[in-house]
Amino acid sequence: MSSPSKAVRGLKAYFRLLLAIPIAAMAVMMMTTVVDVFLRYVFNAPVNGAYDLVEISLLVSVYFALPTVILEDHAIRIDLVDGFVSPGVAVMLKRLALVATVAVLCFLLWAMIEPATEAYDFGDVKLELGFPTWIIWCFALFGLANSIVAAAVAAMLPRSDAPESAEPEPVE
Amino acid sequence: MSAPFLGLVVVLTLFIILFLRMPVWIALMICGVVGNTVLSQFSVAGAVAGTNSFDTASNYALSVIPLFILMGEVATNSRLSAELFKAARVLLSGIPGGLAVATIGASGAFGAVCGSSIATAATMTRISLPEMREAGYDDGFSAASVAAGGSLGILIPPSIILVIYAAIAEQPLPQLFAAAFVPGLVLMLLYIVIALIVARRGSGAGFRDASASLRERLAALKEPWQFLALFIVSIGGIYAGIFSPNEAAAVGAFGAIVLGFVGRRLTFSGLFQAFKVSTITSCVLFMIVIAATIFSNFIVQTKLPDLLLSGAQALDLAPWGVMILIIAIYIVMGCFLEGIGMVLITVPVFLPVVTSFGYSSIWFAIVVVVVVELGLIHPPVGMNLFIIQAQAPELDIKRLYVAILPFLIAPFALIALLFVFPSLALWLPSILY
Repeated sequence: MSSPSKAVRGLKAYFRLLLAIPIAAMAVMMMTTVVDVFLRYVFNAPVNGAYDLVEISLLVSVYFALPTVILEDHAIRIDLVDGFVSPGVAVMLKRLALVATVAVLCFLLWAMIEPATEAYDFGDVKLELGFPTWIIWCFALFGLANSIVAAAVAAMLPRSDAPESAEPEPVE
Repeated sequence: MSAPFLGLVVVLTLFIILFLRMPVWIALMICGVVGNTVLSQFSVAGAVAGTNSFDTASNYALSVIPLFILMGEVATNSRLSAELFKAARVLLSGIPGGLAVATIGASGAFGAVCGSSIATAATMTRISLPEMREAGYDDGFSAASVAAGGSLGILIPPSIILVIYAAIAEQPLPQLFAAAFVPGLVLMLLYIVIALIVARRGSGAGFRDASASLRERLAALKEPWQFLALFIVSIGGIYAGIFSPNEAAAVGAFGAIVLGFVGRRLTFSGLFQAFKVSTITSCVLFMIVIAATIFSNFIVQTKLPDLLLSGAQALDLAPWGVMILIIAIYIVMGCFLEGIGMVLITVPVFLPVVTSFGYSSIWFAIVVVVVVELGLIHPPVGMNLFIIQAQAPELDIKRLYVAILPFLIAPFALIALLFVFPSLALWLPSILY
């Protein structure tokens, strides 16, 4: 097995592990809200900071799942063109989409650095938990940086290893 | 170049990029950022993108999206739909086409805890298609019943697409859920009527099950109690004003897990799978919502809706004429575009026009969802048709295209009814809120 393949396999394993974090974040989101509702209705004692915790968990669940979404090609797209173009052109369009994804993610990372720095400079904190906002920005930046790596890896994979379009997500 | 014209050019470019297989969120992001850059400057476009990406992903109100998806995934993994189908089958036994009616009824009920049409269609294909085949039903008719029934998932609350609409159009979600309830039931009834007519007239579609006794029918009513409990607690909780949508979604997801384990239908691996799929699906949706927020920011700045509004006024059309034009555009787009992307691209453009002609934004939401629902079952894209065919590859897609045609009448009839009786959508919200 060649070393690039090993590196790709290693990265894929790393992203699978990383997915455990957004899954845990979703569980936290659900349980925080359930406990908050229960304590509020039964003991009239809502969980202090539940609102903030849900917001932080939501952001973590989105940005930490993004590398897997990109690497496993779960993004929604219209593939009608596949019926009209040669397989070579279809592969080229897939690669083009991945290159555009890298570019957009790099732009987002750049765009988020300034507000993250401002949050640090001004000492912004979440209202109920008092949690520093710049750390939450760092979560988003970390997720984006990993997503850039995931998109770059997907774009560079040889055709046989390239992610095929995943099953449509059951969103509609 | 004037701002509205720039808006028009960017919208057209967006469609071209979308057809070149670009992921929906990337296409929206590129168009939004480039548009904002041309309108103001790159640093402003960066500031809009940076802050929106953070604010949307940490918006408490939007936590309802992953939680309702989780509830649906857990319900799917708990085989709740199988219980519903079993009960509907017994209740409707003895009627020609009873299995098809049971499929539609169970799909509608499952949609009330699932929120996803594709998940409903995929689940019901596995459960009801083999049973209908065994009973000698025509393959095309069976699959068309599953496709039509499955499409109810996005109209009957909790509907993920309504959550997205609420976010993009800044509308109250509880009112949207209340508005969708009656039209959802009406559409289910329309599908059932069509299934019964086809079953009576069509060849190989009118088989009868052995008729169950009254006692068996009453016993069958007890089977789907878990579904009723989930629906009453989560959606009923919203209607009754006990829970906010976020709380209802969390309680519903938690309740589905508890019921799944209590009934021994949910395993730990099934639960993990439900969490994993929900996480990935939510992330996909959130990236689209983030990109659509940035795109919508650009559209608002171009004043493109104003241009469309003055264009519509210049045509001197009656309000209903404008609405029919907009619906026709949606139907054409539904042939090619995926539903959530379509809603996110078009609502910021069309909603100001619709409201300025005196239509309610709540009513418009329901019309949009019905049209998206139509897009799920009408050829050539019809995602539900492909979902069914993917799970039953021996099924001839052309046969399915023909068999689905009678069912297409139902969403059109519902749109007509919504025009004639807007209170179908507006009555329940007016009572509850």
